[in-house]
Amino acid sequence: MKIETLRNQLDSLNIELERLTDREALELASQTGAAEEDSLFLYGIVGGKDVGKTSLINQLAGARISIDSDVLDEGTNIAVAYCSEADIPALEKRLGADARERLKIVPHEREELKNVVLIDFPDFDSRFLLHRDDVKRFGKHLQGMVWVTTPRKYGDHEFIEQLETVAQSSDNYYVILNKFDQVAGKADLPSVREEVLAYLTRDCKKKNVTPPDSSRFLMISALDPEAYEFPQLHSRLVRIHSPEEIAKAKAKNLRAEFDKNLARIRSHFALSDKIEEIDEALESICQTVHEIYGGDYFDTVQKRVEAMEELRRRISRGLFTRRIEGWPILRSLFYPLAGIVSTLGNRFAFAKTPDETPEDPRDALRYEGMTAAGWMRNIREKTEMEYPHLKRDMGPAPKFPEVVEQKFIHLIRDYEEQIVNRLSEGAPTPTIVRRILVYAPLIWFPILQPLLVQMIQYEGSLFSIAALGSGFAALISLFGAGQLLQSLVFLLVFYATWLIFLYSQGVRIVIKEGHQEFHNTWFQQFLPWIIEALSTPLQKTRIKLTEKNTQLQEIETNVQKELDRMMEGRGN
Amino acid sequence: MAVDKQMTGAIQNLVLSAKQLKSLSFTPEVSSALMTLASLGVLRHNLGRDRILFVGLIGCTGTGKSTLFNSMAGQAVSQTGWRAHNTCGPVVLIQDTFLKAIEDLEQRFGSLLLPAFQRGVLSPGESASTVGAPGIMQLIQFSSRQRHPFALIDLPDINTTLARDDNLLALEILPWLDAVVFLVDDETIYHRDYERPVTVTNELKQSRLCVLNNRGRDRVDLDHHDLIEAKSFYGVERIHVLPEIRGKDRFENEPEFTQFKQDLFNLSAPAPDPPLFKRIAGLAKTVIDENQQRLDALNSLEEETSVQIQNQIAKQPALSLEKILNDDVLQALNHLGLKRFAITNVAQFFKRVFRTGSLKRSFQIAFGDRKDGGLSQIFRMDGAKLENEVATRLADGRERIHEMIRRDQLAESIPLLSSRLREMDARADSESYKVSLKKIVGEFERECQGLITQDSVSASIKNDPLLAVALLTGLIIDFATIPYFGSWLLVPSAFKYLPLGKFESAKRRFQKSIQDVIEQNLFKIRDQLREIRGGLILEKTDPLFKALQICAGYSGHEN
Repeated sequence: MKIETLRNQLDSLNIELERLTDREALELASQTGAAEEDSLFLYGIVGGKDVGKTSLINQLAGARISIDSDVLDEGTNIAVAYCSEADIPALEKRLGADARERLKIVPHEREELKNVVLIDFPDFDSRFLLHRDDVKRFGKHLQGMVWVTTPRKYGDHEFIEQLETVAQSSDNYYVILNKFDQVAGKADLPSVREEVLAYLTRDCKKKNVTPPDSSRFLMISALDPEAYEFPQLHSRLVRIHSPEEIAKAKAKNLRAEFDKNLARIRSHFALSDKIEEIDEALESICQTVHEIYGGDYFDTVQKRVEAMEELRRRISRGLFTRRIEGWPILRSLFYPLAGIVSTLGNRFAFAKTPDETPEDPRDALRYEGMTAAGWMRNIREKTEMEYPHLKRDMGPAPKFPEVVEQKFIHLIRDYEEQIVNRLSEGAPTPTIVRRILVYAPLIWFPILQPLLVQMIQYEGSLFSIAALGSGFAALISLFGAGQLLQSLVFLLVFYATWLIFLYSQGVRIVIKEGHQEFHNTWFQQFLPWIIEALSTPLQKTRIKLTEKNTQLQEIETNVQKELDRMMEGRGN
Repeated sequence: MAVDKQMTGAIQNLVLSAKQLKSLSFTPEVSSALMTLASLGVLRHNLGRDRILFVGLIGCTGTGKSTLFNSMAGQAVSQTGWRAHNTCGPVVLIQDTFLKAIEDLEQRFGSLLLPAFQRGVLSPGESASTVGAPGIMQLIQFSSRQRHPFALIDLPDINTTLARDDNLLALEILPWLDAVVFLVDDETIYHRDYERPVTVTNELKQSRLCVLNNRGRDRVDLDHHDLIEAKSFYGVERIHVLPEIRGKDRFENEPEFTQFKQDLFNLSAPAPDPPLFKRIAGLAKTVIDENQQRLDALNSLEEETSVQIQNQIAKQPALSLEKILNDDVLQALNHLGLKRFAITNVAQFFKRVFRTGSLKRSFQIAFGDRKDGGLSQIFRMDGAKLENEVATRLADGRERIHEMIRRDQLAESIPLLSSRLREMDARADSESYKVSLKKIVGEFERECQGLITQDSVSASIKNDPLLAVALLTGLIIDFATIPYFGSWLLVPSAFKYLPLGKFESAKRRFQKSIQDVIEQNLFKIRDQLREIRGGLILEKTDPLFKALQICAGYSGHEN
């Protein structure tokens, strides 16, 4: 039963692929499960009108079992089975409803044809549709086929059409060129063999089915059982088929069925080709995006972004707040003085005032008169044109303008955050000297400096206790408003200068490093994102197709395993 | 008869304008089929009433078409043999006088006889191994005193895979025949591949013969009911049963062959025109429908484009002068004449003093009389900024419209149209509008400079009498109601925001003309659409369209 499940799996895969690709599902070759159980081996003798099927079966049976008129008429009307008396119940069970009224059974008691049933079919190339149906209906019950043609008919398209949907292994498929006597005078056996086989093989290759086996291609004249290769055919068909041989042949058919179906599904839906094509398309999208958005486009946008003064201010300020986080005094001083510090800091850093300030990200992304969204659309269209088969898989075009603008705003925000983070990480931890330098003024201006001044002004020795004492006295007495104010002003001026210096240093760093940082953001975030937006549906299809491809492979290995198991079971 | 005459005229016109039809690239299968049938129509019409008949051999491979052909030619011309698919292209046996007549006609109309094929001519007695190659029509001329009323065409088979790969050439040529000889043999007499040619033959009302090349059976019972059925299937009264020829490669004096020849010579009915005309009518209708489809799609696109452009223009805010004018100039222009007494000028004055430190100049700009011309010196519009602004707006508009065009459902369904639309350049061409932009800027500048140099209270009263009256009234009311309050300063401030005066109108005109430039440029998309239209659509006034219409209108009258 396992085979049956695999068959169903393959069937549903076939239908799913129809949905996934733009091609119709295939009509798969199939055999009935019933054939696996009994030990009958059914040979179907099929072929076009008047190719001598009936003569052949009569010749093989050694009796006139099928009516073979000498008048030109429509020919055999219903199928005729030549079957051993003992096998009739099994045959009827096998054919079941399919046989009703369309099959005449001719019993025999020949020992050598036990287990083997020969069935003569009506021609399948006639205008009478019923005849074709018979072959279709019975086809799935057959284990072997004897396809009869003639020198005049071997080019007919019927053969290849039938071979496409037939499940039998080429090992169980005989191709018989009847009426060889008609060409006997014009060509010899080898040349006819070569010509016909070449013709059939070419057709088979076009349709991707296994061509007929040359050892099973025989040329006969059904009217003359002694001539040409008829004796060979007779000895191959009319003989005792051992149960092992029959089982082997059936297993071969199963293998052939799956091989053929798998191969046809693969070539029809061209899974790996399509996956390859998608890969190519993805690659080309990636390349085009880099070509377009890299280079000149990037330079233009970068200039614009750097010209966004507001943005640079935010970044410099962010960086600056980070840098003075460890300096409580500086930090508390910076907030009231932020305006002055940043303005002067910018000026000292020689940051140029930009001449154009795009406010809208849409404007910042414009290049050669087109928005980023326009370029994106161009890329999509280019891909669509280059890979017309993938148009359906690319899905409906996303709303590029909305998508790209939002992304760009996010991008700028990220860029801002990242640059602040990265630059502040690299800042050195303040050394002792620096700390002293920053905090010393707190003692210097209110205390040391006035003390020193007082001491200098003291008449007498500068370095005497008296001078010091006078200094302290003055200091204490003068700790009034005037001196304090004076020292505060000094403090303020000192720290403000310090802040401005620090700030301008930061701005310089931002200008220097921001360049690189924006480059990174653009190439490592924005471009991958654009590529993603353009290729997501394709990626999805690719995943699905790969999945189906794996499923196909799984089915293939499972079939292999199952068949091996069956063969082993027989061996024991 | 009048209908037929009109029809033949129309068909001739079709053939004469074949190039034009081709350039419009309608569905290739349809238009090439139409042209082929039209050539046939012209050929038939011009050869006259007692034209030669084209007789073709239709049959499966191996039924003996080429053998019969060679027998009729009396020489081995067409390749025969047991192999499948010997003949790949048509081989035509034709009397030289007829060939001459056809060639004379072709001087006028271009290729008429099977125009899709390259032509090879074989002179009498000559035999070539390449006869019947794909894509080549081989003509074999013979000059005979006996008047053969027909040209015999040997055709490829109809059932091999190779023939199918060539799209069943025989069926393609079938409409050209006046009479069809169906060749069958014992193996193929009921073959289903005969169904299609028989249907076509029935439809075209061609005369027909049926030849059974009997090579398998001892006897053929022509009265057997199966064969009677076959006769009615092929539409013949009798089936010519030719015997097997052994040892010879063609029929010579066999009585059955002679009888067949006799029957062939007796054929006199040319294929009637109406079925052919009907086919042409069907094809012409398809072409017209396709044309109409394109026309509808483009018309609706044009309309939508116009609407979209109008919408775009209506939605766009007027160009703000702040973007393109220097602050001082803008200040001065906004406060021309009486408006210079507005309170906002005080703020402006202080602002400017703090920024530049120049008291005198600031006062002049804020309150001063501008007659001195100093201001008109600094009056300068930033051309680059303006161009940039216009370019931005244009690009925006173009992109939106292109987006709309590309997403148009109707156009999307017509592959050729949608690909042409995609080829349209969405980028704004930056050069053409710059000239007109410069002109507009120049005009506006001159106007503004004029206003500045004339600026005085009296001039502005003259310029804007309405404003002067309103201002005066406001001041009187103010003075009379709240004395000494000094709100007189507020009154001109209020007037500053009233869009009155010469500058306002100049500004509006300027904005309007900028918008016009944008609009004009956007309408270029419509021109592009019209250009596309020229290459894709057959206008109703075109003679070719009229010919097609006459063809399509043919309803046929059976007689």
